Amino acid sequence: MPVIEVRGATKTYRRRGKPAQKAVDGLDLVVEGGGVHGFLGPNGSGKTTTIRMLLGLVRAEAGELRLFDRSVPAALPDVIGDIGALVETPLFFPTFSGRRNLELLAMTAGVEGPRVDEVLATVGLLDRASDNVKGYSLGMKQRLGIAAALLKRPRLLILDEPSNGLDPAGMVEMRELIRSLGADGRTTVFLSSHLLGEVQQVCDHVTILARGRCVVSGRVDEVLASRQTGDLRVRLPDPDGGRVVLEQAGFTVTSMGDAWRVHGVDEPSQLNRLLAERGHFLSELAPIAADLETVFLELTKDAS
Amino acid sequence: MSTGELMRGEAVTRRGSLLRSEILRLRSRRFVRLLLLLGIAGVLTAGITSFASHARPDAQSLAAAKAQAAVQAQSCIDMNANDPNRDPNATPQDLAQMCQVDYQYFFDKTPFVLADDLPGIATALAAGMAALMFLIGTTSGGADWAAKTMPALLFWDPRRSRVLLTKLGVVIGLAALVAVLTQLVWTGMALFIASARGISDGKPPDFWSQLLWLDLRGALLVVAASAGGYALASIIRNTGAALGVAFLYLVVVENLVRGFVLPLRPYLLGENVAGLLTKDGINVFTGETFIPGNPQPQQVFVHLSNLRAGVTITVAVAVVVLAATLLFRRRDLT
Repeated sequence: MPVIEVRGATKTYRRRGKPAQKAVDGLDLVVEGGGVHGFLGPNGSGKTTTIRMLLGLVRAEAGELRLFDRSVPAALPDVIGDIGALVETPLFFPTFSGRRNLELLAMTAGVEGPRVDEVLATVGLLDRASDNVKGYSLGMKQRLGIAAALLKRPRLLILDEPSNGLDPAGMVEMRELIRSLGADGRTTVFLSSHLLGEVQQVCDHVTILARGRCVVSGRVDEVLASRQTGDLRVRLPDPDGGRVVLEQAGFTVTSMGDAWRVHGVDEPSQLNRLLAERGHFLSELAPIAADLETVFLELTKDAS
Repeated sequence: MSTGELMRGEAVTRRGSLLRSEILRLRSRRFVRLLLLLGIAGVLTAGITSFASHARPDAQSLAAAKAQAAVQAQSCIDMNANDPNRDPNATPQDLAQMCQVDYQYFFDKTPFVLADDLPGIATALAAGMAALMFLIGTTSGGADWAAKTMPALLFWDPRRSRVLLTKLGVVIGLAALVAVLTQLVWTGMALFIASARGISDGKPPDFWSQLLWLDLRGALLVVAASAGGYALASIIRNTGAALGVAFLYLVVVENLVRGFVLPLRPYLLGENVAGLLTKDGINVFTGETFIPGNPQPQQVFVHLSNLRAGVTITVAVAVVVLAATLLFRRRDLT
């Protein structure tokens, strides 16, 4: 059963004195349960609007949105107990302490006991829990937001740019947390991020949006495989001699550290045979896989 | 950070209490506490000022005051008796009636008269508490939008009407509590002041029932002000702007209506507040009319009874609350 299912969702923002802006345009999206699902797209591609529609904050004009196989926003009250969310900057009362803010939310959801301190410890904020939120850095507010999202022990955790404001160490911890949550067999993490490296490192699945539409969706390795570059990494005992042979045969060759990158090779065995016939024997021959950044830029170049 | 840590320890999960968390949230707000302290200070000031400015007269000052009042009254009677333009049919009793002088004017410090001063100050306190609770209502409604905590709260309880009405209910509950406590405290202080520095007798037979009726009307006003303030701030999503709109209405719109659209006066909040708090209501001048056969214009008044004023205020606040609720249900929270 999909945890998130979106069919033909559309949302246009109409603001007085400004042209209408179609934020989401017939979006289809399916997120199966378990693991970490990355949600990528350039600024303004509709990621946050999609999340807001799922959480009932923004009303879709058309299409159907389902969470845990229940139509939302109508059935949101029935499923919200299983959902934790952090959407953009977490919002708390600045003059209340971090703990008080969480206690109020916990009380709303009926979550009590040691859970507040537990999640504060999880995000490393226990020492500062009694301080007013207005004294927190952006990274600390972000951690508090994640603590709030974890309070309910959600089965679906929706994180919109969770690494915003975190220092490098905090980002590593965040990635570890997301990865461990996705691997616990109970939680599905839906991670919206513009940090492509982060998504590639922690996500099992990815959906890429452009202009409010899904341009690709699937397992990260499959998405990358479907976008193979046709480039090869070639290392030779006689690099310069090998390069001359390849260039004479019409290949484009560029430097890649201690190896050559040979572009646009349809059949690697041809290259192997060519070099061997000329007395150059390979130390290494490996396909260069596309990284997520390359795929992302390629798929969204028109939208940027 | 690990899931192991996350799963350790069993949280007690039970039905959530939005109401409880909203009460705690309101109670924790420092600005609300500050305003409530100001309210307490206002009630105490009323009590202390009343105590300090009144004194029970001794027999000597009572006699002196009565003598002075008698002299003044006699002087008035003499002056009128010698007036060539006086009504020839006026009897000495009529003159004496016309020239009555209250001896209390001649005390250095007047006694605290329970029958007059208790309801008088109770009325003023009700008006003051209504203003205070309007401010608390607007700041409560506006704070959720200023801190943008409303969308965050909807992650926890997405039933928007329920969320808004619970928050409104907490503010109304606080207002009712403030209204009741204020009047109880003031009544207690007034009884003490009357016993120490005033006169408790001379009350009309229905004094206590009238006071209770006044207190109920005052409580209605305080509650309505808090609800109106909260709903207005929810519609505008900003405390300052909501206060600005209220100021604009009270100072500009109401005065324009009083100056130029007299028939609408019975619907003004200002007039209805006066109609609600004044014993037996007020008469509002709504213009002049001509009666056939009489060339002189006749002034037209509309009577705003306590009931009519209360209903008008309640309907006005209900409309604002309904608008706030409907808008909140439909609004995109971006």
